[in-house]
Amino acid sequence: MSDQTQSAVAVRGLRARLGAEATLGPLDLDLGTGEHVLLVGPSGCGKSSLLRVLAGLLGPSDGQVSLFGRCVSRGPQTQVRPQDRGIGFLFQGGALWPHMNAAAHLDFVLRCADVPPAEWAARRAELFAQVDLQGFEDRRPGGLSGGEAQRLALARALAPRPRLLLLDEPLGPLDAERRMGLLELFNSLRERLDLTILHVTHDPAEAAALASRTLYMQQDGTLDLERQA
Amino acid sequence: MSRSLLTLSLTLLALAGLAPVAIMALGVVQDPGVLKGLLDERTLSLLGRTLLLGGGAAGLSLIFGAPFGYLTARTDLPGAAWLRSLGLVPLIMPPLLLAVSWTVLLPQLRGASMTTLLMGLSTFPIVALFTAKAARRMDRRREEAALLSGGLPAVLRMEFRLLLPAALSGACFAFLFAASDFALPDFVSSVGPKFNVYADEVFANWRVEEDDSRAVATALPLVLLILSALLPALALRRRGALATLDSDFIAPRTLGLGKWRWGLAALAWGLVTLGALIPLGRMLFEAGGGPTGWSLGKFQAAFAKALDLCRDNLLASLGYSILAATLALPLALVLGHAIARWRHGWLLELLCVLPLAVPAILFGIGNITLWNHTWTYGFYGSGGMVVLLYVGRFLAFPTLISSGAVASLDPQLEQAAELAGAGPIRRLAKIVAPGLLPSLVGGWILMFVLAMRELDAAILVPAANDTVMFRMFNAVHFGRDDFVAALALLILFVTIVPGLLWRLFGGKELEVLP
Repeated sequence: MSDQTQSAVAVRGLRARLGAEATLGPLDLDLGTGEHVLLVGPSGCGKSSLLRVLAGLLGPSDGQVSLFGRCVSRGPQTQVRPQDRGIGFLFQGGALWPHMNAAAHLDFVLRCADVPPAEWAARRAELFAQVDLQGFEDRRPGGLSGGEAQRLALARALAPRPRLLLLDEPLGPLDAERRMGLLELFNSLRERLDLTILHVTHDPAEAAALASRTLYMQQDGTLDLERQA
Repeated sequence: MSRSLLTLSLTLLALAGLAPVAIMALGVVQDPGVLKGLLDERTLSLLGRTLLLGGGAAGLSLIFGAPFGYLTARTDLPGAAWLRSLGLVPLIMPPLLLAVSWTVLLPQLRGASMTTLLMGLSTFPIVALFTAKAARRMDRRREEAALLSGGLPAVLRMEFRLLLPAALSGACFAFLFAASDFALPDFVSSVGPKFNVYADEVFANWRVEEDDSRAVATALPLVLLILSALLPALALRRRGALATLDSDFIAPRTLGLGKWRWGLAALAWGLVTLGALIPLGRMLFEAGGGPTGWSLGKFQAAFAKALDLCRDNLLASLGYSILAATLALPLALVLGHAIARWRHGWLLELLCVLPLAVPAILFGIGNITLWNHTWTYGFYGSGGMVVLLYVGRFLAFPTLISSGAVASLDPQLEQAAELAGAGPIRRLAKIVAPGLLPSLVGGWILMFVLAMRELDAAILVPAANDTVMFRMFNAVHFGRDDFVAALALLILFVTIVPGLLWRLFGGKELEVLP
């Protein structure tokens, strides 16, 4: 458990079916507000699935999930819809919409969040500045480099002003220099926007310097409590 | 997925596609006596002939279509782009028009051999399209690894196993088209030795003996026969797609054929000549006077006559086909999405393809049984009936195209929109549909082509008697002349126009495969 007082994420007895044989959990998890926690483990152990359960994209079969003190799912029952959980999700590979340019990506999210159209331009400019992507508004994903695409995906995740940012292998396709740049960006955003970050990676060395803790997931989908660092 | 949207789509599927099938099944259940003598000697003989026709056509389509598809998609074959376009003509052309041309050119060849050959020519583009799609999805690195280990033969050996499911899937669909066709065997048998197939018997039971239940019962073995081809086609379709999809896909290089290049080109052009150029040439020849002496004046007069006499029929067919394709498009998107994303989507897929397992003749009878009542007579006699008939009959094709495209769309794209707060309808309209544009347009065009060339069910349903294909069907049975040839060319031209426009101005490669 972290030294932060307010709980950002509280998971109790969580289980989820991942396929015919694989399961996630049972597991308990606590993240304090403002933490940057790394989640590492072997391929296929369920790291990404845990993020999806927290986001509400995958239904648990058992257990309770609370975010910032609010119960969002109890057993298989969803209490709070994914879009109402205050979560930003950086998908593996970006998951950018290939038919939209960078500005349209953000406009889409701002429209969904019921932000008045008159405010879109200012919010777009603010988001592009936050991820250092000014001047790329008209570019489509196909015209962006790997690092730029990840920054756009990050801007999209930040657009609804989330409190919890879930990162699913965000540095995978990038070279060492861009990895470091993006990690520093995560860190500065966490401090500036008061974000809590849960960061899935298969490489424990990747962000260890910036993370407050590292959690280890085992092949059977449970957390290795003895290896927490 | 929006529940209300899905419920609406399922209701329309049930109304247009499943209710005509269900009402016929109900008739047999209520009168099981009609099943007696179902497997008598005559029925078994017809079943054997239909199996022969379907199997023969599927075999020919595989032999012609698989190499044609691969060569035109992946190699430096001279004129490959032209071959790809012209190779679609036999599929777009109604089989009856193919028969009209070839029975004149080869009058001594009739019966089983002619019917099978024509069905093989008509359906080989299906196998070619399936093969070409799989061939284009070969990752360059896979090929290069094979190339390093043993040159072009090694590449072909490695790819054979990946291409085979796709080609076989196409052959199963070819079987489906051939086994359920009524008009082509009927026309080919109109002179010379008879080659009655199962669809003939179903038609005779209904039209001559006026016995609905008997017609339905007679068709049961044929339905089972077509299902036995359809189910493997669906399974193979999945395998053919999954075998070649990678997230970091790199498009393959064009393969050089070396010394085989011109020989193989001659074979490919020969096939296109048989399936497209000769029938088109024959029609152009006949429209201008044919054996009595060709002239431009006669040619123009034949077209003027065809337009004058059949303008209303052409417009009616055009209107029905455009409406059916446009109505089917949103249904296909919603149903295709559910098939691809639901855990038990295969069940919905099965429901969607069920109308295809029923011969068109029987599907027409089902619609008549369902809608020919005093309280629905206004609708039964209207163009709405024809549109519903086409939607019910062919909805499976755009739905399967759409489901295949959704399956290859990264689900995270939709999840990102869901997290942003986009509802199911907005996600479908703003995220899914734009990503599927070539598939949706392809589905629309395929639906339009199939509706334009539909004849078997339209023969039975009175409201469809004003379609241009029905007019054509009547005309060819009263002798061929310049009018028939000109009308055939007009039908072909109108059918090709949407695909041609997309080819010229669309920019992207269309996806027209189920």
